[in-house]
Amino acid sequence: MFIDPHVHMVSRTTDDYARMAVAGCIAVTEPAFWAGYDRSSPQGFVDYFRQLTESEPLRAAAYGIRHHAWICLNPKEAEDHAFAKDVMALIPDFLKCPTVLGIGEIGLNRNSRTELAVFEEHLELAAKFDTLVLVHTPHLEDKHKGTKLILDAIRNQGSLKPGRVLIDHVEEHTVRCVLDAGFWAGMTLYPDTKCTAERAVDIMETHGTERLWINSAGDWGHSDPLAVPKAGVTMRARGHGPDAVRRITLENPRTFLSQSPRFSDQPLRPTAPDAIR
Amino acid sequence: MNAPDKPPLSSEQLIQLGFIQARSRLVDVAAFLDRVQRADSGSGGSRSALEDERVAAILAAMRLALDGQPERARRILESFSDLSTDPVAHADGKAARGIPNKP
Repeated sequence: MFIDPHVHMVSRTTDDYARMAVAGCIAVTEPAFWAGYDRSSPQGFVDYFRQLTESEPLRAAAYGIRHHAWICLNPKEAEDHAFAKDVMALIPDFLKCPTVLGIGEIGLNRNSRTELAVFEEHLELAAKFDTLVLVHTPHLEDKHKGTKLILDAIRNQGSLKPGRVLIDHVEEHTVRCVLDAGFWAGMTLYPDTKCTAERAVDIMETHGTERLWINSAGDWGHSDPLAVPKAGVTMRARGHGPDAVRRITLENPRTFLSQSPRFSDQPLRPTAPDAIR
Repeated sequence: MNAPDKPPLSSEQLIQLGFIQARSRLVDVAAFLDRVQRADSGSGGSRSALEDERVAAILAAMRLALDGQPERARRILESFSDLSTDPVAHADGKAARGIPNKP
Protein backbone atom coordinates (compact mmCIF):
# COMPACT_ATOMS: atom_id res chain seq x y z
CA MET A 1 0.00 0.00 0.00
CA PHE A 2 1.14 3.55 -0.66
CA ILE A 3 0.00 7.17 -0.65
CA ASP A 4 1.04 9.54 -3.42
CA PRO A 5 0.82 12.85 -1.56
CA HIS A 6 1.49 15.06 -4.59
CA VAL A 7 0.04 14.09 -7.95
CA HIS A 8 -1.94 16.16 -10.47
CA MET A 9 -4.63 13.68 -11.41
CA VAL A 10 -6.62 16.22 -13.44
CA SER A 11 -3.85 15.73 -16.01
CA ARG A 12 -3.89 11.94 -15.89
CA THR A 13 -6.11 9.38 -17.54
CA THR A 14 -8.56 7.09 -15.78
CA ASP A 15 -6.23 4.23 -16.75
CA ASP A 16 -3.64 5.83 -14.46
CA TYR A 17 -6.07 5.61 -11.55
CA ALA A 18 -6.60 1.94 -12.39
CA ARG A 19 -2.85 1.25 -12.55
CA MET A 20 -2.23 3.11 -9.30
CA ALA A 21 -4.96 1.08 -7.58
CA VAL A 22 -3.47 -2.18 -8.84
CA ALA A 23 -0.05 -1.05 -7.54
CA GLY A 24 -1.54 -0.47 -4.08
CA CYS A 25 -2.40 3.23 -3.99
CA ILE A 26 -4.97 3.95 -1.29
CA ALA A 27 -4.92 7.77 -1.25
CA VAL A 28 -3.66 10.73 -3.23
CA THR A 29 -3.48 14.42 -2.47
CA GLU A 30 -3.60 16.88 -5.34
CA PRO A 31 -2.29 20.45 -5.07
CA ALA A 32 -3.60 23.21 -7.31
CA PHE A 33 -1.05 23.97 -10.03
CA TRP A 34 -0.37 25.59 -13.39
CA ALA A 35 -2.36 23.96 -16.19
CA GLY A 36 0.32 24.61 -18.81
CA TYR A 37 -1.38 27.85 -19.85
CA ASP A 38 -2.50 30.96 -17.99
CA ARG A 39 -6.20 31.15 -17.15
CA SER A 40 -7.83 34.16 -18.75
CA SER A 41 -10.01 35.03 -15.76
CA PRO A 42 -10.44 34.26 -12.06
CA GLN A 43 -13.60 32.39 -13.01
CA GLY A 44 -11.39 29.81 -14.68
CA PHE A 45 -10.05 28.99 -11.23
CA VAL A 46 -13.56 28.41 -9.89
CA ASP A 47 -13.99 25.71 -12.51
CA TYR A 48 -10.57 24.23 -11.70
CA PHE A 49 -11.18 24.25 -7.94
CA ARG A 50 -14.54 22.52 -8.53
CA GLN A 51 -12.76 19.90 -10.60
CA LEU A 52 -10.32 19.34 -7.71
CA THR A 53 -13.01 19.14 -5.04
CA GLU A 54 -15.95 17.57 -6.87
CA SER A 55 -14.91 15.60 -9.96
CA GLU A 56 -11.57 14.08 -8.95
CA PRO A 57 -12.75 12.53 -5.65
CA LEU A 58 -15.42 10.65 -7.61
CA ARG A 59 -13.00 9.57 -10.34
CA ALA A 60 -10.54 8.30 -7.72
CA ALA A 61 -13.24 6.58 -5.66
CA ALA A 62 -14.12 4.43 -8.66
CA TYR A 63 -10.79 2.69 -8.03
CA GLY A 64 -10.92 2.69 -4.25
CA ILE A 65 -8.52 5.63 -3.96
CA ARG A 66 -9.19 8.48 -1.52
CA HIS A 67 -8.65 11.89 -3.15
CA HIS A 68 -7.84 15.11 -1.29
CA ALA A 69 -6.98 18.54 -2.61
CA TRP A 70 -4.97 21.64 -1.77
CA ILE A 71 -6.19 25.04 -3.01
CA CYS A 72 -4.21 28.09 -4.08
CA LEU A 73 -3.04 30.25 -6.93
CA ASN A 74 0.17 28.61 -8.12
CA PRO A 75 3.29 30.80 -8.33
CA LYS A 76 3.52 30.53 -12.14
CA GLU A 77 0.37 32.63 -12.40
CA ALA A 78 1.21 34.97 -9.55
CA GLU A 79 3.12 37.66 -11.42
CA ASP A 80 -0.03 39.77 -11.97
CA HIS A 81 -0.75 40.86 -8.41
CA ALA A 82 -4.24 42.25 -9.07
CA PHE A 83 -5.27 39.03 -10.82
CA ALA A 84 -3.76 37.03 -7.96
CA LYS A 85 -5.78 38.94 -5.38
CA ASP A 86 -9.00 38.20 -7.30
CA VAL A 87 -8.19 34.49 -7.35
CA MET A 88 -7.17 34.45 -3.70
CA ALA A 89 -10.53 35.94 -2.77
CA LEU A 90 -12.09 32.70 -4.06
CA ILE A 91 -9.99 30.42 -1.88
CA PRO A 92 -11.77 30.65 1.52
CA ASP A 93 -14.99 29.15 0.15
CA PHE A 94 -13.10 26.15 -1.22
CA LEU A 95 -11.19 25.64 2.02
CA LYS A 96 -14.55 24.58 3.49
CA CYS A 97 -14.83 21.59 1.12
CA PRO A 98 -14.68 18.27 2.98
CA THR A 99 -11.70 16.89 1.04
CA VAL A 100 -9.53 20.02 1.10
CA LEU A 101 -6.51 19.71 3.39
CA GLY A 102 -5.08 23.20 3.10
CA ILE A 103 -3.21 25.74 1.01
CA GLY A 104 -0.96 24.43 -1.76
CA GLU A 105 1.10 24.22 -3.76
CA ILE A 106 2.14 27.76 -3.04
CA GLY A 107 5.71 28.99 -3.21
CA LEU A 108 7.98 30.61 -5.73
CA ASN A 109 8.77 29.97 -9.39
CA ARG A 110 11.27 32.60 -10.60
CA ASN A 111 11.82 34.21 -7.18
CA SER A 112 10.24 37.54 -8.11
CA ARG A 113 9.04 40.18 -5.66
CA THR A 114 5.42 39.74 -6.73
CA GLU A 115 5.60 35.95 -6.38
CA LEU A 116 7.00 36.45 -2.89
CA ALA A 117 4.24 38.90 -1.96
CA VAL A 118 1.54 36.51 -3.20
CA PHE A 119 3.24 33.65 -1.32
CA GLU A 120 3.19 35.70 1.89
CA GLU A 121 -0.51 36.44 1.39
CA HIS A 122 -1.20 32.72 1.00
CA LEU A 123 0.67 32.08 4.26
CA GLU A 124 -1.62 34.57 5.98
CA LEU A 125 -4.64 32.70 4.62
CA ALA A 126 -3.24 29.41 5.91
CA ALA A 127 -2.65 30.96 9.32
CA LYS A 128 -6.11 32.53 9.40
CA PHE A 129 -7.87 29.26 8.54
CA ASP A 130 -5.36 27.10 10.46
CA THR A 131 -4.67 24.77 7.54
CA LEU A 132 -1.76 22.59 6.52
CA VAL A 133 0.54 24.09 3.88
CA LEU A 134 2.18 22.44 0.87
CA VAL A 135 4.99 24.49 -0.65
CA HIS A 136 6.48 24.23 -4.14
CA THR A 137 10.15 25.15 -4.42
CA PRO A 138 11.47 26.51 -7.74
CA HIS A 139 13.19 24.54 -10.46
CA LEU A 140 16.85 24.18 -11.39
CA GLU A 141 19.00 27.28 -10.80
CA ASP A 142 16.22 29.00 -8.85
CA LYS A 143 15.69 26.25 -6.24
CA HIS A 144 18.54 27.09 -3.83
CA LYS A 145 17.67 30.78 -3.56
CA GLY A 146 13.91 30.19 -3.67
CA THR A 147 14.02 27.66 -0.86
CA LYS A 148 15.86 30.11 1.38
CA LEU A 149 13.41 32.93 0.55
CA ILE A 150 10.50 30.58 1.29
CA LEU A 151 11.89 29.46 4.66
CA ASP A 152 12.51 33.08 5.64
CA ALA A 153 8.97 34.10 4.66
CA ILE A 154 7.41 31.31 6.74
CA ARG A 155 9.57 32.21 9.73
CA ASN A 156 8.63 35.87 9.31
CA GLN A 157 4.92 35.00 9.19
CA GLY A 158 5.38 33.89 12.74
CA SER A 159 2.38 31.78 13.59
CA LEU A 160 2.66 28.80 11.21
CA LYS A 161 4.13 25.75 12.89
CA PRO A 162 6.95 24.17 10.83
CA GLY A 163 5.56 20.70 11.54
CA ARG A 164 2.39 21.64 9.62
CA VAL A 165 4.27 22.83 6.53
CA LEU A 166 5.76 20.56 3.88
CA ILE A 167 8.46 21.99 1.63
CA ASP A 168 8.37 19.98 -1.58
CA HIS A 169 10.82 19.14 -4.37
CA VAL A 170 13.89 19.15 -2.13
CA GLU A 171 17.18 17.93 -3.56
CA GLU A 172 20.65 17.38 -2.15
CA HIS A 173 21.37 21.10 -1.85
CA THR A 174 18.13 22.06 -0.08
CA VAL A 175 17.02 19.12 2.06
CA ARG A 176 19.26 19.89 5.03
CA CYS A 177 18.09 23.45 5.61
CA VAL A 178 14.44 22.38 5.35
CA LEU A 179 14.75 19.55 7.87
CA ASP A 180 16.99 21.52 10.22
CA ALA A 181 14.30 24.23 10.42
CA GLY A 182 11.72 21.66 11.54
CA PHE A 183 9.69 21.49 8.33
CA TRP A 184 8.61 18.37 6.50
CA ALA A 185 10.39 17.75 3.20
CA GLY A 186 9.13 16.14 0.02
CA MET A 187 11.28 14.48 -2.61
CA THR A 188 9.72 14.47 -6.05
CA LEU A 189 10.54 11.60 -8.39
CA TYR A 190 10.46 13.41 -11.70
CA PRO A 191 12.78 13.14 -14.69
CA ASP A 192 15.40 15.75 -15.57
CA THR A 193 14.34 18.59 -13.30
CA LYS A 194 13.91 16.94 -9.89
CA CYS A 195 15.01 13.69 -8.22
CA THR A 196 15.58 10.15 -9.44
CA ALA A 197 14.64 7.22 -7.22
CA GLU A 198 18.33 6.41 -6.78
CA ARG A 199 19.09 9.92 -5.52
CA ALA A 200 16.01 9.91 -3.28
CA VAL A 201 17.34 6.76 -1.60
CA ASP A 202 20.74 8.45 -1.23
CA ILE A 203 19.04 11.37 0.53
CA MET A 204 17.16 9.00 2.86
CA GLU A 205 20.39 7.19 3.71
CA THR A 206 22.19 10.48 4.34
CA HIS A 207 19.51 12.44 6.18
CA GLY A 208 17.22 9.75 7.60
CA THR A 209 13.51 9.41 6.90
CA GLU A 210 12.02 11.49 9.71
CA ARG A 211 9.68 14.20 8.30
CA LEU A 212 10.41 13.05 4.74
CA TRP A 213 8.09 11.76 2.02
CA ILE A 214 8.30 10.93 -1.66
CA ASN A 215 5.82 11.77 -4.40
CA SER A 216 5.48 11.53 -8.17
CA ALA A 217 4.12 15.02 -8.93
CA GLY A 218 2.64 13.22 -11.95
CA ASP A 219 1.15 15.81 -14.27
CA TRP A 220 0.89 16.72 -17.97
CA GLY A 221 4.68 16.63 -18.43
CA HIS A 222 7.04 13.67 -18.56
CA SER A 223 6.18 12.01 -15.26
CA ASP A 224 5.10 8.69 -13.79
CA PRO A 225 2.15 8.19 -11.43
CA LEU A 226 3.75 4.89 -10.39
CA ALA A 227 7.00 6.59 -9.35
CA VAL A 228 6.32 6.04 -5.62
CA PRO A 229 5.92 2.23 -5.71
CA LYS A 230 8.82 2.02 -8.18
CA ALA A 231 10.99 3.91 -5.69
CA GLY A 232 9.98 1.30 -3.13
CA VAL A 233 11.46 -1.34 -5.41
CA THR A 234 14.64 0.73 -5.70
CA MET A 235 14.81 0.94 -1.90
CA ARG A 236 14.55 -2.85 -1.63
CA ALA A 237 17.31 -3.26 -4.24
CA ARG A 238 19.45 -0.95 -2.13
CA GLY A 239 19.09 -3.21 0.89
CA HIS A 240 16.26 -1.47 2.78
CA GLY A 241 13.60 -3.67 4.32
CA PRO A 242 9.84 -3.58 3.88
CA ASP A 243 9.39 -1.56 7.08
CA ALA A 244 11.56 1.25 5.72
CA VAL A 245 9.65 1.23 2.43
CA ARG A 246 6.34 1.31 4.28
CA ARG A 247 7.55 4.23 6.41
CA ILE A 248 8.48 6.47 3.48
CA THR A 249 5.65 5.51 1.12
CA LEU A 250 2.77 5.21 3.59
CA GLU A 251 3.37 6.04 7.24
CA ASN A 252 5.19 9.35 6.81
CA PRO A 253 2.62 10.91 4.47
CA ARG A 254 -0.14 9.55 6.72
CA THR A 255 1.48 11.19 9.76
CA PHE A 256 1.76 14.60 8.13
CA LEU A 257 -1.60 14.56 6.37
CA SER A 258 -3.48 13.25 9.42
CA GLN A 259 -2.86 16.60 11.07
CA SER A 260 -5.90 17.58 9.04
CA PRO A 261 -9.04 15.91 10.39
CA ARG A 262 -10.28 15.73 6.81
CA PHE A 263 -7.58 13.31 5.71
CA SER A 264 -8.49 9.65 5.45
CA ASP A 265 -6.77 6.64 3.97
CA GLN A 266 -9.30 4.17 5.30
CA PRO A 267 -10.26 1.45 2.80
CA LEU A 268 -12.70 2.66 0.20
CA ARG A 269 -14.84 0.22 -1.78
CA PRO A 270 -14.13 0.72 -5.50
CA THR A 271 -17.25 1.70 -7.35
CA ALA A 272 -15.95 0.61 -10.75
CA PRO A 273 -14.11 -2.65 -10.08
CA ASP A 274 -14.81 -3.94 -13.61
CA ALA A 275 -12.55 -1.25 -15.00
CA ILE A 276 -9.57 -2.66 -13.11
CA ARG A 277 -9.81 -6.17 -14.52
CA MET B 1 15.86 4.82 8.97
CA ASN B 2 17.84 7.30 11.00
CA ALA B 3 20.70 8.47 8.80
CA PRO B 4 22.98 5.44 9.10
CA ASP B 5 26.68 6.06 8.81
CA LYS B 6 26.90 3.66 5.89
CA PRO B 7 24.41 2.46 3.27
CA PRO B 8 23.04 -1.06 3.87
CA LEU B 9 24.93 -2.39 0.84
CA SER B 10 28.71 -2.68 0.59
CA SER B 11 30.59 -0.55 -1.90
CA GLU B 12 31.08 -3.64 -4.06
CA GLN B 13 27.33 -4.33 -4.05
CA LEU B 14 26.57 -0.69 -4.90
CA ILE B 15 29.03 -0.78 -7.79
CA GLN B 16 27.48 -4.01 -9.03
CA LEU B 17 24.02 -2.39 -8.82
CA GLY B 18 24.82 0.99 -10.33
CA PHE B 19 27.86 0.69 -12.57
CA ILE B 20 26.17 -0.02 -15.89
CA GLN B 21 23.68 2.81 -15.38
CA ALA B 22 26.40 5.27 -14.34
CA ARG B 23 28.55 4.18 -17.29
CA SER B 24 25.62 4.74 -19.64
CA ARG B 25 24.86 8.20 -18.25
CA LEU B 26 28.50 9.22 -18.51
CA VAL B 27 28.64 8.12 -22.15
CA ASP B 28 25.48 10.18 -22.74
CA VAL B 29 27.21 13.29 -21.39
CA ALA B 30 30.29 12.60 -23.51
CA ALA B 31 28.12 12.07 -26.60
CA PHE B 32 26.32 15.35 -25.91
CA LEU B 33 29.64 17.19 -25.84
CA ASP B 34 30.75 15.41 -29.04
CA ARG B 35 27.45 16.32 -30.72
CA VAL B 36 27.77 19.98 -29.83
CA GLN B 37 31.41 20.11 -30.90
CA ARG B 38 30.69 18.27 -34.17
CA ALA B 39 27.98 20.75 -35.07
CA ASP B 40 30.36 23.56 -34.26
CA SER B 41 33.30 22.39 -36.42
CA GLY B 42 33.56 24.20 -39.73
CA SER B 43 30.90 26.72 -38.79
CA GLY B 44 33.51 29.47 -39.06
CA GLY B 45 32.44 31.07 -35.83
CA SER B 46 35.03 32.68 -33.64
CA ARG B 47 33.63 31.16 -30.48
CA SER B 48 33.67 27.44 -29.67
CA ALA B 49 30.36 25.89 -28.66
CA LEU B 50 32.22 24.39 -25.72
CA GLU B 51 32.51 27.95 -24.42
CA ASP B 52 28.73 28.29 -24.28
CA GLU B 53 27.99 29.11 -20.65
CA ARG B 54 25.66 26.12 -20.25
CA VAL B 55 28.23 23.71 -21.69
CA ALA B 56 30.96 25.37 -19.64
CA ALA B 57 28.83 24.85 -16.53
CA ILE B 58 28.66 21.13 -17.27
CA LEU B 59 32.44 20.96 -17.77
CA ALA B 60 32.98 22.80 -14.49
CA ALA B 61 30.57 20.44 -12.74
CA MET B 62 32.50 17.46 -14.11
CA ARG B 63 35.62 18.82 -12.47
CA LEU B 64 33.75 18.79 -9.14
CA ALA B 65 32.86 15.16 -9.74
CA LEU B 66 36.55 14.36 -10.15
CA ASP B 67 37.94 16.23 -7.14
CA GLY B 68 37.72 13.27 -4.77
CA GLN B 69 35.67 15.18 -2.19
CA PRO B 70 32.29 13.95 -0.84
CA GLU B 71 28.84 15.45 -1.49
CA ARG B 72 29.43 15.78 -5.23
CA ALA B 73 25.71 15.91 -6.00
CA ARG B 74 25.08 18.77 -3.56
CA ARG B 75 28.10 20.71 -4.74
CA ILE B 76 27.25 20.25 -8.41
CA LEU B 77 23.66 21.39 -7.81
CA GLU B 78 25.01 24.46 -6.03
CA SER B 79 27.35 25.13 -8.96
CA PHE B 80 24.23 25.28 -11.18
CA SER B 81 22.41 27.55 -8.71
CA ASP B 82 21.69 31.24 -8.44
CA LEU B 83 23.41 31.98 -5.12
CA SER B 84 22.17 35.55 -4.83
CA THR B 85 19.77 36.28 -1.99
CA ASP B 86 17.32 39.03 -3.02
CA PRO B 87 14.12 38.47 -5.00
CA VAL B 88 14.27 39.67 -8.60
CA ALA B 89 12.20 42.64 -9.71
CA HIS B 90 10.14 40.65 -12.24
CA ALA B 91 9.86 37.02 -13.33
CA ASP B 92 11.89 36.54 -16.50
CA GLY B 93 9.49 34.09 -18.14
CA LYS B 94 8.06 31.00 -16.45
CA ALA B 95 10.83 28.47 -17.16
CA ALA B 96 14.21 28.15 -15.48
CA ARG B 97 17.10 27.39 -17.84
CA GLY B 98 19.42 25.33 -15.65
CA ILE B 99 22.14 27.83 -14.81
CA PRO B 100 21.90 31.36 -13.43
CA ASN B 101 21.96 34.40 -15.67
CA LYS B 102 25.23 36.30 -15.68
CA PRO B 103 24.99 39.40 -13.49
